[in-house]
Amino acid sequence: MASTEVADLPEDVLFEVFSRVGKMKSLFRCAVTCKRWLSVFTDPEFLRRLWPEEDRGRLLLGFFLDGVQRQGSTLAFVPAPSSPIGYGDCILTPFVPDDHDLFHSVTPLASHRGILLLRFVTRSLTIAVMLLHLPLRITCIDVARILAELTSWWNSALSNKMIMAKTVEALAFHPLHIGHSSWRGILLDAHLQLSHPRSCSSIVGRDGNEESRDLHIHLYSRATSSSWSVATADCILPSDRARELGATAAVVHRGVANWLYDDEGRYGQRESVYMLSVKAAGTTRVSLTKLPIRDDSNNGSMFLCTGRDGRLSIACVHELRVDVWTTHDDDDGESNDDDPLRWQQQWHKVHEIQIPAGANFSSFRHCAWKCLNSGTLLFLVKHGGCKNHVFVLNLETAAVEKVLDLSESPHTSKYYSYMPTPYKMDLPEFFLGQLGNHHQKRLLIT
Amino acid sequence: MAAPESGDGNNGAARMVTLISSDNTRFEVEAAAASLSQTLQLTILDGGGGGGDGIPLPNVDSATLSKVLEYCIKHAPAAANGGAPNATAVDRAELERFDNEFVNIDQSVLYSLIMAAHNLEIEGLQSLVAKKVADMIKGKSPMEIRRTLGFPDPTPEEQAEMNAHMLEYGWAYE
Repeated sequence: MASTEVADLPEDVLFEVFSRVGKMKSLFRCAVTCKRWLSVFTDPEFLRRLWPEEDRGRLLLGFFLDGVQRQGSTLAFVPAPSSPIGYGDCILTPFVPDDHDLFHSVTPLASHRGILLLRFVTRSLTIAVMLLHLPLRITCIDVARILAELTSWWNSALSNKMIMAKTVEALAFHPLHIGHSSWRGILLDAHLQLSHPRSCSSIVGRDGNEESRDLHIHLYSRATSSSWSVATADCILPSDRARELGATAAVVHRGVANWLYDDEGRYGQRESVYMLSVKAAGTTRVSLTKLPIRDDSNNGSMFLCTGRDGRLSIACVHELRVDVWTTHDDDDGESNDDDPLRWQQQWHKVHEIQIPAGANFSSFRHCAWKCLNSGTLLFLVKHGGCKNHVFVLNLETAAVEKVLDLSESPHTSKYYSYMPTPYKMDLPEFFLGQLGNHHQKRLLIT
Repeated sequence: MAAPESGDGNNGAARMVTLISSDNTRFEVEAAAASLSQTLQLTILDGGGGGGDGIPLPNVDSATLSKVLEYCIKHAPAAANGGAPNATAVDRAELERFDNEFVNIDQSVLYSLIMAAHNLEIEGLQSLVAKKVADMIKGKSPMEIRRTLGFPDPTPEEQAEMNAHMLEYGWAYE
């Protein structure tokens, strides 16, 4: 039998084989075994079949930790136990060439669909934030080019230095206070393309004065590959006691960015919960809606989340339990999709999640929380430095699962107490980005 | 549907069909076994394959077909029970032992088998062989995969490119 034919099996048969290989590392290796296999592993349709949408949303590859080592790289990547790249510690080699001693520190801030946001603090203490399309092994990046790209973007989108500084922070998902105003933002719809690996298409940010009820919404949409269009909309908060709740980053649901607010009564008790929704695509729409959600304990932290089934959920973190509300979303009537209000009408409580028996923590409230999405929240249990653990709380199934045990990492210093940055990746995009390139460069092709 | 029942009825004569391989060898098997193939099942339900007619299979040689039929004959009783919900643990263990033994064969035979299973739409056999091939791929470097699956030797250029990939993506080879 001519053995070469093994390589030439029909695509359906190759699918049957590759879908049983499992580990992404193994698949990444066998992709370059021969020309035929490389062609299926660079076929978007084949890759999407291998990793269907519902699985891809949950591909938590691992966590970026910063400040774990004081020599060489300060960035480490630790795969999650279920990570398709396999479990085990790996520390990143320095991937930012610092020949000119430019950077004081490099900090991972957030990631979204394979884009990692890093904050660079340079010796002169100016802050730069970078979007980085991340292969698993980071090769040296051209810092000069990226800084030049960012600079031209700032210059074209924004006109004065004050706003420029805010925008940098908008990208970083973190609040920055300049005078009385604060700015928060999110990558609304970042997506990777081979030609523009570091592009994102729109950014929504809020800018408000803490003493007033006025809130300004800023939208930046990618007009061309090098220019951005800017739009502004205003919103008036219900009272000057209205405060933002939970994560500073918006939760994006069907093209609408959502934030939670609460309104305190005269005596500091929580009276109402509101959702601020901003629709960015097409015509800009802003709405602020009072939600029918009660918080018995008056002071639970609240987090907004999108579930895997496309529904919005709200988790309210109390001392000993987490309450989960969710919306009805019957998925028909797409004509209503334009209406941000639609998601806010009917909420009901679906879970009261208690601390699991045998857990090594006794309070949910003392943990640091972060939205991981796909219906999940991350929380960091602080036992001090290297004894810290990170758990995932699944809002749909009420399951609690440990995903990171810093005590197992030989690189963690005992002073480490930050919430690591979770890193999720879309594997079809990863394969296309890495191997498509090979394909184009005609490597391996004889 | 009718075919497995008549085979199971065991009224002395289970319905038989004849299959003809690409090299013109005739195989006579119970319709119930042949019906594990979705492709053949339709023909058999239409009454084909009986008597002197035979069903020609131009894509399957006799060596492969005899191997395929060995699988079908072994699995037919369980399949007739609708995926064997009431099979005993012993039966299941026996089938598993058979399956493991069955795919413990040369890679070139595996290739012919998976192609035959694909063409004849024998789902169980296709997954069995696919799993075997997947196990042979797991954890190996591209070069080892080529050797295991019997690809021809790579050209020096191909070899150099595989090495380059290994250098660039060291994490995938750890």
